[in-house]
Amino acid sequence: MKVVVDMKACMSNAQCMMAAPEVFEVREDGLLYILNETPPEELRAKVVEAARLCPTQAITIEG
Amino acid sequence: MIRNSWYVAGLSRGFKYELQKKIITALPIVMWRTQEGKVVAFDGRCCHKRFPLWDGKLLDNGILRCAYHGLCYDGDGKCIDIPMQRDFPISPAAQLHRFPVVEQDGLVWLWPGDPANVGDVKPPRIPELADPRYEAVISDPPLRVRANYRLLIENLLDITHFFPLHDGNIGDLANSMIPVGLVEDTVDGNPKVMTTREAKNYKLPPYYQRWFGLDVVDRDHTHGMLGPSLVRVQLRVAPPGKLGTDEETGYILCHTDTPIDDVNLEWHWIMITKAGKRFPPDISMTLAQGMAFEFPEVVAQDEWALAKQQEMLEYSDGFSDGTIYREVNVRSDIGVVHARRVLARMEKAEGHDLFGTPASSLEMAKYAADLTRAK
Repeated sequence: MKVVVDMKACMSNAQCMMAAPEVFEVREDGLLYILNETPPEELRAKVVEAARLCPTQAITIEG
Repeated sequence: MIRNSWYVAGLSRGFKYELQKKIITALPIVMWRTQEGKVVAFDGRCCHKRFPLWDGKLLDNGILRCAYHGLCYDGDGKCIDIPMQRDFPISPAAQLHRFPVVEQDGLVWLWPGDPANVGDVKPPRIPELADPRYEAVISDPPLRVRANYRLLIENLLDITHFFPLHDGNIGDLANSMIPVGLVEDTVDGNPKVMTTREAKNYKLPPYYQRWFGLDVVDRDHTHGMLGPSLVRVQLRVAPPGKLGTDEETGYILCHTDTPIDDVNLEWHWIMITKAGKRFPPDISMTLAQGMAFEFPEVVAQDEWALAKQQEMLEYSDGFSDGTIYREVNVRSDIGVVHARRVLARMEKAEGHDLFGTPASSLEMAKYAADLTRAK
């Protein structure tokens, strides 16, 4: 599984961070940091939820 | 609030040899134009008993006299007379704090922050105000809105609010669908965040049709924040395929944004057009005069919205179940999101957070993420 974020679409809502904090982190600078671009399979449910919650639909999951 | 920035304190023509009271970033400031013609700005409290100096008097010889005990100050803010103690030398401590002032393009700009931080930062230019090829109408006196300064910037950088807020005058839903681009830059030391919107064969909303005498146009619309104190809007419209030709018309609309304190702002809008254009609905007026005549209806809608947002910003974000209210930013908020980053950085440098939710809600989101991680 690979996590891809369209950084132009990301509006730093931080919904992804709440759903999958192991993978996504919005920092004090207001920017999103992907902590793990290829998260382990056991995080799939959380990452799918993060993508679903994103208000700008900036997250896609490959594989 | 950000103090290390230039803010519009007023229009050049408004400063004479008379005392003026200004509150900028919660600082009391007394200003006047000296007999030599220079605008000066000092802390508004007499160094003796804090009496407001704008209630004092400018004497014939260029001296400011406090109305309470009569301490006198020269045009450098230095105390030169303490009437009840004329037999002692005056302490150098009896000196008013001075604020840097620059007059430019017919505006008086003031730096409420540390003068040592001015460095290479210059007040943002509005070059058209000093150019005879253009004509400008400036709203004066300024509007005062009970709202944090960032709400005005955010309003101007996100014009998807034109529908429904300005529906029927300058707005329609089609306007909200135009894709938004973003430009970031630094101009004269001021951070710039500008949104761009281009549309072809676009049907103008009612006011624009009347103002420009056009129906379907190609249109280029930009909204640029230049530091926390100025937003410059540029609208170019022309019959399809005619942008950049003599048939192009439109406006430059600058908005000055001066924080009085955390919850009040002062706002001049400046309507600028090329000189010599007439207002199609009434050719006895110039285009700038005609638009400035009708624009207050639009501005009143924004004032209403900003004051309402401010009111709602002051409620607590937390709910009893541990969840919080959070703003949802959509794709067209790109300008707002970037402007918040810039302003938050400037506020942080002065030890503050942006007024309202963004910083605190990020902390709450982190807290929620920590809870999720622990599960």
